Amino acid sequence: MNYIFANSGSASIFGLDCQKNSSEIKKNVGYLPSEVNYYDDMKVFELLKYSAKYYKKDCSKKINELCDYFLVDKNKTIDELSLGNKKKIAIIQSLLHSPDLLILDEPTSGLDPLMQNKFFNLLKEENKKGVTIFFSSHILTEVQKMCDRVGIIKDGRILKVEQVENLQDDRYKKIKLELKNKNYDFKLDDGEMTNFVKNNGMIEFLYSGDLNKIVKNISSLEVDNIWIEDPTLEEIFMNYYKEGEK
Amino acid sequence: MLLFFREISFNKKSFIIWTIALIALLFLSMSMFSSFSKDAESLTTLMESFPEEMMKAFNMSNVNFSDSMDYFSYIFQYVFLFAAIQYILLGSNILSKENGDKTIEFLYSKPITRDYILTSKLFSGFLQIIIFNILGILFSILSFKLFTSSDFNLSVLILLWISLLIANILYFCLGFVVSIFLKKAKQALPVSLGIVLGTYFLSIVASLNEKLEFLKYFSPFRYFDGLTIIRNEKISGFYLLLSVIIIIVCISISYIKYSKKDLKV
Repeated sequence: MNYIFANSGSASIFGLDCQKNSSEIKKNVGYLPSEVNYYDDMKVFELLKYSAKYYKKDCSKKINELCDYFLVDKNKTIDELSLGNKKKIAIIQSLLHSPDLLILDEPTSGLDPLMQNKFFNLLKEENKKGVTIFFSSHILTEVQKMCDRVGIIKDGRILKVEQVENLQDDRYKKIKLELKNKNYDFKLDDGEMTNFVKNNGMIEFLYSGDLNKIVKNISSLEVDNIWIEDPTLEEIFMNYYKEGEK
Repeated sequence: MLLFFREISFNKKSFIIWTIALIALLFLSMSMFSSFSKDAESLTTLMESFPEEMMKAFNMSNVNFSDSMDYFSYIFQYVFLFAAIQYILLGSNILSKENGDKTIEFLYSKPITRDYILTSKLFSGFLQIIIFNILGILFSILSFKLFTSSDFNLSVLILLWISLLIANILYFCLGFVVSIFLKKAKQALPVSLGIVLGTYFLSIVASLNEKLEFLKYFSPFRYFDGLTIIRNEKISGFYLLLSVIIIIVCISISYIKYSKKDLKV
């Protein structure tokens, strides 16, 4: 968005350089900031109209549609709005010019679950129309639910860009065991077990090796209970960060 | 033009208040001229008993209070001071307020360039300055007509206001460039007031002490001394050039620095 300038490297959107052609790019980009800061003394419809004027096209129909959809009172001043309501205005503001790319920074903070659901449905609709959506969030269940591809960024570097399903692929299984013998030390030392947690006879770990091997191993134990699950995105994410540290 | 008009309506209120206050100051002071000029002689004798330094500090030493133009110039220097404060504040606020309220984030997300933002804001300031000075000229002519019986020199009066116009733009641009360098929006107010009062005291020091006379180059209050303009019936070309150079330098630095400034949220 040309908010800050790169120390090195370059970026481009729609084939245009992010710094040089920034204003050209922004014509087709909707941006939702994580913290909404608007002119306090403006009324909601004033702000939306003002925002629309920058795009030099008639957005009044879209504004009305979106305001009705999100149940927004257009005659309130920005000052009077709660965090969630401000967020709604910001969402409308980012969508009103029908952009091709949406950049959403923590879009759900402050939104109540009902509105979140409505918002996600709207995003899915927009996505079907061909709108690309960048969705930054620390609530990874959201990401898991919404996104097709995930990029993991650490210290300004992209560690991985991957399809969500591929990230969750069979390479990783989350295995949880409850053992009869609470002191038994179950460990395979081939480096395929990570995130090992042992807690009062409960053993939890991520396993990336051959499944047959682990099943054989487990079968030699006296097991009270066993869970084998696909890990959530959150656990994969934590894993990447730990690997990054090594 | 969109942002330009937005800026104008943004600053409308404070502009109207400042303008009314300054013109009222001028107008009311001029209305007291007749009583001043009646007692001018006793006033002059009274003032002669004051130490010369004090007279110089208040810029009264060569003022002939029985002359309407001289009297006007005496009042004019206070208008000058307050207008300098007003426009340096406008200059420094016009950008730093948006930074402080973080509304600049909104502007940056729109399809406009940073140069467009600067240009809109600069010109909205210039327009306010021009309107203020035109109103100033009109009301000073009116006050001369109403409150003084003698003729007055219109072209000198206009020269005085032109000098104020340039000084206003100068201070506006100073505030503008300073605010770009400030890290926090809250610093804008004390720093700009510091600049105005600092340059004001420099001008006093420069007139008091001959050894420190070179300080006058650092104070726009000296560039356009009202009494000097009245006596010479012209604005000093050197100072005019100096002001224009300072203004151009300020604006250029603003554009260069601002186009590379990171947003801090």
